[in-house]
Amino acid sequence: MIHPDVVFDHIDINQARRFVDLSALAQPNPHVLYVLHDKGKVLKAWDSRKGKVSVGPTLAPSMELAEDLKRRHQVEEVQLIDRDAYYQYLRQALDLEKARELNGYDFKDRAKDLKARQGNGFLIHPAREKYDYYHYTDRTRRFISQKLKPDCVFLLGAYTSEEWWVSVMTVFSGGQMVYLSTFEYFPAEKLASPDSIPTHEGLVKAAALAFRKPAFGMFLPRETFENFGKNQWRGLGQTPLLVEKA
Amino acid sequence: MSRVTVQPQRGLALPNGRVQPWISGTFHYWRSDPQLWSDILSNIKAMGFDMVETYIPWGVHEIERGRFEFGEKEPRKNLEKFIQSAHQADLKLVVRPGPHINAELTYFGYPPRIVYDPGIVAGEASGALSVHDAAPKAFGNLSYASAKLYSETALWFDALAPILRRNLHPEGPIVALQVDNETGYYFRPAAYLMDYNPDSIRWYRTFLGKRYGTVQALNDVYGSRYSSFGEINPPRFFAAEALGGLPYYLDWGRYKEWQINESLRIIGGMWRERGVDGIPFFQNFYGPTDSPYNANEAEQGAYGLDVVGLDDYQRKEVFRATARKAAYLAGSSRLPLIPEFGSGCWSLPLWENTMTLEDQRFTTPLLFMFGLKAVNYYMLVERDRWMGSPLTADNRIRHAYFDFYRHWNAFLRKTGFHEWDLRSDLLILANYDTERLLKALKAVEGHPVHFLPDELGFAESPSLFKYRLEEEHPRWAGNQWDYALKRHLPLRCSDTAASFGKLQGHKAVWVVTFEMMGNKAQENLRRFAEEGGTVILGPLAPSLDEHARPFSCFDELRSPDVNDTPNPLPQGARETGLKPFLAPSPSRGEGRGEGEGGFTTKTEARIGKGKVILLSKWSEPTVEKALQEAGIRPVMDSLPGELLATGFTHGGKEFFFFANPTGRTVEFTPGRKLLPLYTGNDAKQSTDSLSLHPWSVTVWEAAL
Repeated sequence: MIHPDVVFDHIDINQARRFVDLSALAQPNPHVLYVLHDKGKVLKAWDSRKGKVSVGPTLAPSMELAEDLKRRHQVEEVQLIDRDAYYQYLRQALDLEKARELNGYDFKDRAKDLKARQGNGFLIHPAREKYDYYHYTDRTRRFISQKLKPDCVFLLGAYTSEEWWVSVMTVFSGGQMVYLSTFEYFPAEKLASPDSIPTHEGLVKAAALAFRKPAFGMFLPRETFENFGKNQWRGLGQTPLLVEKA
Repeated sequence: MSRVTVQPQRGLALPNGRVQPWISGTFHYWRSDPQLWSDILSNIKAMGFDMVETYIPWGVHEIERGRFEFGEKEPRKNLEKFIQSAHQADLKLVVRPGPHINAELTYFGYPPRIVYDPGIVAGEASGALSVHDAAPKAFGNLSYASAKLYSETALWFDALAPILRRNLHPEGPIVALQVDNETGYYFRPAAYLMDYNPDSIRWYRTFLGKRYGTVQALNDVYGSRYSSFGEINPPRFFAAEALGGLPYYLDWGRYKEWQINESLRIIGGMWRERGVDGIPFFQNFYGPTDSPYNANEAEQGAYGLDVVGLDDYQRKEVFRATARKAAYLAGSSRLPLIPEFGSGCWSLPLWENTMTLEDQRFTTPLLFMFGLKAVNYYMLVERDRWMGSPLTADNRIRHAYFDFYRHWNAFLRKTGFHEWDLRSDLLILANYDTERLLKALKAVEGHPVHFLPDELGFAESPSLFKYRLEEEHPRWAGNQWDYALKRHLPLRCSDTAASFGKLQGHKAVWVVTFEMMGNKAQENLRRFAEEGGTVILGPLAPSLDEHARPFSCFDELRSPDVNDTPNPLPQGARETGLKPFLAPSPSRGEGRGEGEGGFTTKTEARIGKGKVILLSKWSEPTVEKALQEAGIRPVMDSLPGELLATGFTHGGKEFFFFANPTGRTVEFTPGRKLLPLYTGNDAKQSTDSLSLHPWSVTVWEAAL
């Protein structure tokens, strides 16, 4: 999704801060029961909201047990982690040759996918394919792959009548992001009247001209953007997709 | 030959006898159009800076192994032209030539061939190679024990050294050099993540050899039967079940501290061998002050470093940590320096802590308020992957930022702030031994590719200590710092690795203690008391040395009327002849809250000309009484508790900093008549009362 030599510049830090703060509101914070064990001998059990808990001195890890613990401890997720299996997972995930070969997001994806293939020694229930931990990244990638052309400029602007509240301009080449800025990239005169359609049209035209690529824009009032952002996380398995909204 | 030296607590001493305050900011020459360099440097000068700083990126200048480009084809890589531009602009220059620089570059400034070389990449406890799963490209975290890393780095240094040599002050502008960058395991301080590279394991064995001299001496401590150091493999998780098993794990932590400092010694030595010398060498730990980052040890002379600073990037709401860091540097370093203080923030990846000008207006003077004397603002000039600086890459001025720096720098210059002395009757020491122990007690470590809560990792099976240290240590240390701030105590901070000289000059030293504390740290505290100071300990008096063997320098605190049992003797420990200290011993998990466990009695004992006080239970009235007895008074009486306050002296005058770390205006009447020196343009003053705006720092001179 992102080229290794991507350029990020002309970024308005106040807009970036607003985006970060909005994202934080919508981050998942699932209720998880972690059980660390050594070939069935329980070393520690930790509830992410209640702290140390007891699950007994030994266990035989299985999906059924994980489901039972999920129900009994009233958590959203259970992780049963045998230390040796965890180390084995790390050896698979941290493959230096794969790091050289893949882009950063594909490397992360690979590491994530491997978690679902570790058997009962490294068991995460429910399986992670059912939801996105890195939902912003994942959904943004889906949006890019499904809705945008491989070579284009995409603009997103959230505005009030006074200012650009958040803005992003991304340039794609061969399906990879090669450039990102806020609208600070443009001369000030093009940014006046942020809530007017002629301004939006002018920005799209200017972007297409500057990068010699087709340009697309999504412009929406600040309140709409904020509501959209806040609603991005509704709990496990209930994530409205950016592609659906778009 | 020494051209430039460090003037303790002041700045850089130049050969002409002048002291140069170290107030600098960063500009990455290769990321801006060379046609703009002179104008950008002029704008930096116009903000009131006399010094500028730059990384010099190995990975940017290397075109193939052993061949380098310094502007012959690409003007933006013309390092020497940039250096001369700084000289012509009358700016001193600080250089940071790596080998590691980070600089938000895809491979942290290394050539790609280095970060994918399995012989150089660090190993993890799992047996995996250590991969930095960064966006937009993952790469290997390097082992700083790798012999190949140094032989490859030598090629870079060979090429760069002639340029640096001919531009050292006074012939050129270079006045200081940073040895590597944020050295130490790439933001992964956990004990058992790194570094298990075969070269690192060789270094570990060498370290044990240096520490113990003979394998028999090691066996005496470990209770083991090794026949050579080469048989010893490092721990990969904590599994001891008795005190006697601890030294093996603690030594791994000590080794990791030593690896950092030893690698800095080697890299600094490589510069000196190439004639780049005669200027201060410094290092910037990335932030934490606990193991494996041992700033006190690193600066104590054996590693060729003149100054060890700490980097800091925080929002204003995290002001307690920022103040603590500045106070730590003030109490630990000969030149309290933050080599990277956030002026703007990186934009890839976006960070939850992204700080804006509103944050910087508060946190920047806050640093100086708590004793900082030198700073480098990172960055003054924006560029790829950086936002929120006073100058853009194409040299446009962000006026609000620009004016802030100009105003603050004018204050520092006009008042001669670098010559002010922080009032500090109290020295708060972090307990480095306890912090190292906490790092060692992990049965499993979380990892960037799979989050595990820190608490899950703490080993549960052995009940080695009276308290659950992972809970009690941070609770006591947090209470201690919050109390010191709200009571406006005149203080500095450091840790128990500090030399005795850093304790001297204070009326009292206060350290949170449990059973274990190193012999030297205990001896320093005792000597401080013997010479007339007050030592405040607690909740437990130290009763074990760094090997977990019975040892206490504070037997005077033994309370004969407390019915108690001694700590168990460490398994396999040899007899020391020292008596175990008998401290009150609730069972593990008890006595945590106020009123529990029966530890309401403060114990006090005379030692030489001074005394030692044991705070066995957290109680603010008890703490207050202990500090009053030690002669510790607030910098000014009757200040509102929500304010922060520090005091300075210079030339027979007194100065005060007040910070309002809240979102509401605070009004109060100071006990002294004060004259404003720095108000951030928004503090109101009447004859008697002060009105401090939300999130503001102001500076005042006491009227005579």
